Amino acid sequence: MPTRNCEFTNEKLNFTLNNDIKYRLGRDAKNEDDMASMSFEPPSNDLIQEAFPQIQSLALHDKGGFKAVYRIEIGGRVEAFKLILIPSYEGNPDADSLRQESIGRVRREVAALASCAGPEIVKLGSLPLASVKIANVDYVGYSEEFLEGKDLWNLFNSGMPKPPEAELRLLFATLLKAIRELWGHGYIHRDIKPKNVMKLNNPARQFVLLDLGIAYSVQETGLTANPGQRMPLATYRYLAPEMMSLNFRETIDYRCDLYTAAMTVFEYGAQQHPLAQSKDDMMRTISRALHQPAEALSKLRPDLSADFCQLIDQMLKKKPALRPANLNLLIKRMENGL
Amino acid sequence: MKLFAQHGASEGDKINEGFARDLLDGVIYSPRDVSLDSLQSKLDFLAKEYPGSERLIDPQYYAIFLNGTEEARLGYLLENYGDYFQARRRGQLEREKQIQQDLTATLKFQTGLKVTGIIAPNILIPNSLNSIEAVIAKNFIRLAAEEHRKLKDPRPLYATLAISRNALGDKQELVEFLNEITLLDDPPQGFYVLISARNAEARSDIYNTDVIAAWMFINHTLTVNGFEVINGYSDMLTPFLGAAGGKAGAFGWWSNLRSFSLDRFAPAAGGGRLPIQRYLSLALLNRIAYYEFDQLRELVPGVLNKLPTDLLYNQTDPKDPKIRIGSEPQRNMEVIQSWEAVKTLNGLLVTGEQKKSLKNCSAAVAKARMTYEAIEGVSIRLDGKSNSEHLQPLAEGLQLFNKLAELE
Repeated sequence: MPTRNCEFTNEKLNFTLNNDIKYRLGRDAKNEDDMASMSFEPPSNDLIQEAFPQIQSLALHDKGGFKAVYRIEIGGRVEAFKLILIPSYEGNPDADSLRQESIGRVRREVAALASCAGPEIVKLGSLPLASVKIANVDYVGYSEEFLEGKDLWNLFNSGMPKPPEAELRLLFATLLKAIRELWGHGYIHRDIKPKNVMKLNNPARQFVLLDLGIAYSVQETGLTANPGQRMPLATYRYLAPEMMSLNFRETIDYRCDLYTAAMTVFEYGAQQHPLAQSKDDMMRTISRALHQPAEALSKLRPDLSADFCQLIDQMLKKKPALRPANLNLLIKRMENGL
Repeated sequence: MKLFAQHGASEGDKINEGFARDLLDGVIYSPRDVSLDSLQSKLDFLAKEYPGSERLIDPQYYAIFLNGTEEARLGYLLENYGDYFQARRRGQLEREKQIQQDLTATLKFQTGLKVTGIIAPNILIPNSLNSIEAVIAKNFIRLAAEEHRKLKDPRPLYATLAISRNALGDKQELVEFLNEITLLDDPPQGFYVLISARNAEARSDIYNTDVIAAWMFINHTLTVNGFEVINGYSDMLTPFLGAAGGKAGAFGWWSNLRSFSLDRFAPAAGGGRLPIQRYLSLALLNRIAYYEFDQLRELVPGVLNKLPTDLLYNQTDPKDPKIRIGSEPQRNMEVIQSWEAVKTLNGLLVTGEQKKSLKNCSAAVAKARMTYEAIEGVSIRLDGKSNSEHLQPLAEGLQLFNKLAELE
C-alpha cells in the first residue's frame, strides 16, 4: 500500500504526488487481493426486493467497493442484478457533482451496453435502470444477463494449467471485437482486466467482457467532476501509460484498451502480470507502467508462437502509436492464423 | 527493402539502364521534369518491358504555394499538369472542401496512367507538427482514402507525408502527430514519406541524430500499424529506414534527387557547375570523389565494393586495357554505381528480423569508422562531403530510434 503522501477515505483512495497533482483512483484502485476489504455492506435482500418488486428471488453473487451483484429470478428467468451505491459525499464541497458523476457513470454503462449487440460484451437484462432509496441511502440498480462461468482472475488463481495458444488467440480476438464494437459507438472501456472477463461453459461464446462502469465516451460531455484536479478512475495494475498524461481526456482512444486487453491475455496466458509484482505498492506499479518495458511473453511461454508473442509484446508498448491499431486486420490475424 | 529511382531532370537512359541491370524495383516520376506525353510513354514502356516494376508519380503538390511566385522553377507542372496543379494559398486549404477537390483532381489524373499505385497530394509541414500546416496535412491524409474510393481504382493509395527536418526536433509533437495519423477511420494503404532539408547540399540537415531517429521512427510506427512506407529521396539512409520497417527507398542522380528540398522549385540563386563525380563505398557508408577513390583503391582496398559497377570507375589505357589510368566514370553511370551499392547494402543489412537488421546497421557504422581510421592512417585528407561526419549522427540516430521505438 502507498505510504508516502497518501490519504485514504472510506470509499475512494486519494493520494498526492509532487505536492500538486491529486490522484484519485476509483473503487478498484487496489490489488485484486484486497478487493474484498473495500466492499460495502449491501442492504438486506428483503429491503432490496421491496425497492425492486419485480425481483422474485435474489442471492448475493459478488460484491466490490460500491457494487453488489446478485443472482436473481425475474419473470421466470435468471439474471444478474447490479445494485450500486451512490455515496452521499457528506461534507465534501463537491458532493452534488460527485453524486451526479456516480449516477452518470451507471447511466453511461447502461447506455453503452444497450448500444452493443455483439456476443463479446455482456447484455442487459429485463430490469431497467432505476434509482431507489433504501434505508435512507441512495442506490441505482439494473439487471444484466447472468453468465455461467468464472472470471479469468479467479481461473488462473485457482491453479488451472496454462491455456494453449488457440485459447489465448480466441480470448484476444474476443476482446478485440469488443473494443471494436465499443469504439464504433464512441466508447473506451478503460477497465479491461482478467477480473472483468468471464470464461463461459459455452463453446460458441467462450469469453465475455463485463463492467463498463468507468467507460469513457469520446462523443459525450465528460462526467468527471473537477477533472483538472483528478486522475482517471482505473485499476492501477491495468492502467495504460497514456492514462497518466495530464491531458489524457483530450487524447485517449481505443489503444488504451488494446494495451489492457494484451495485458489481460498476457496475464491469463503466463499467469503472471507483465509488469506489476505482488509486493509492489500502487506508486511502484504505476511507475513500472510508465517507464519499465513489459516482460516478453516468449520468456514465460516459450511454447507459444513467436508471432503471437511479438504481437502481444508490441501491444504493451508505452506509446499508443506503437500498438498496431487496425482492429479488423488484428482480428483476422487472430482468427485465421498469424 | 526495395529500391526505386527518384526521377528528375536529365534522365537520359539512366532509369532504363537501372532496370536493365536489375538494380531497381520501381520508379517515382517527377512531373516537374517531364512532359505529360513523355511521362505517358515512359510509363507505357516500363509497364511493357518491366511489368513487375512499381511505377509511381509524385504529384509534387507540396510545391503548390510557389505557383504564382515569379521565377519559381516549376517546369512542366504549370504547362502540363494544370488538372491538379493550380495556385493555392494556405488559407484556401484550411477549407475541407478545397482539400477534397484537390485530392480528387490529383488522384483522378493518376488513374488514367499506367502507374501501379496512386500517391495522394499533400503540403509540406515546414516548422512544427503542431501547426496550421500540420492540421492541413492531416486533413489531406484523412480524406485521401475516401476520395480514392470514389474513383473505384483498385491500385494502392499512398498518402504523402512531407515534413521539414525542422519539424522533427520536438519528439513529443512527433509522437502525438503519429498517434493521430495511425488512427484513421479510413486509412490509405501506405505513405510516401519525404523529409526535407533546407537545401540539397545541406548534408548535416539530414545527417543529424534527431532527424535520422525521427525518420526511422516514422517508418517503424507506420509499418507496425500495417502501412507500407515508401521513402522518397532516402539515398544512403535507405537500408536504415528498411531496418526500421520501411518498404522502399528512392533516390536519383543529382544531389537534389538524393535529398528532398523545396529549394529545387524555388527561384534559382545563381548558376551552378556540374558536380564532381563520386563513388559510393559500402564500407564508408558514403560517397567519395572519384579522385579520392582513385588514390584509396590501392591504399585502402576496403573502400572497394567489389561489385560489377566498380568497372565503371576503371578507366584504362586504350592501348593496354590492363593499365588503369584513372577512376572517373561516365557522368551518366555514377547513379548506376550508387543504385547497385545501395541495393547491395539493403540486402546485407535488412533481414526479415528487425532486431538483427538494426544490429547489422550498427555493425556497418562501426565498420565505416574503422575504414575511415584506415584512411587517416595513410594520410589522405578527404573533402567535406567525403569525410566521416555522417557516422556520429548515424550511430546516435540508431540509438535514439531504439529508445523512441521502445526496442531496448
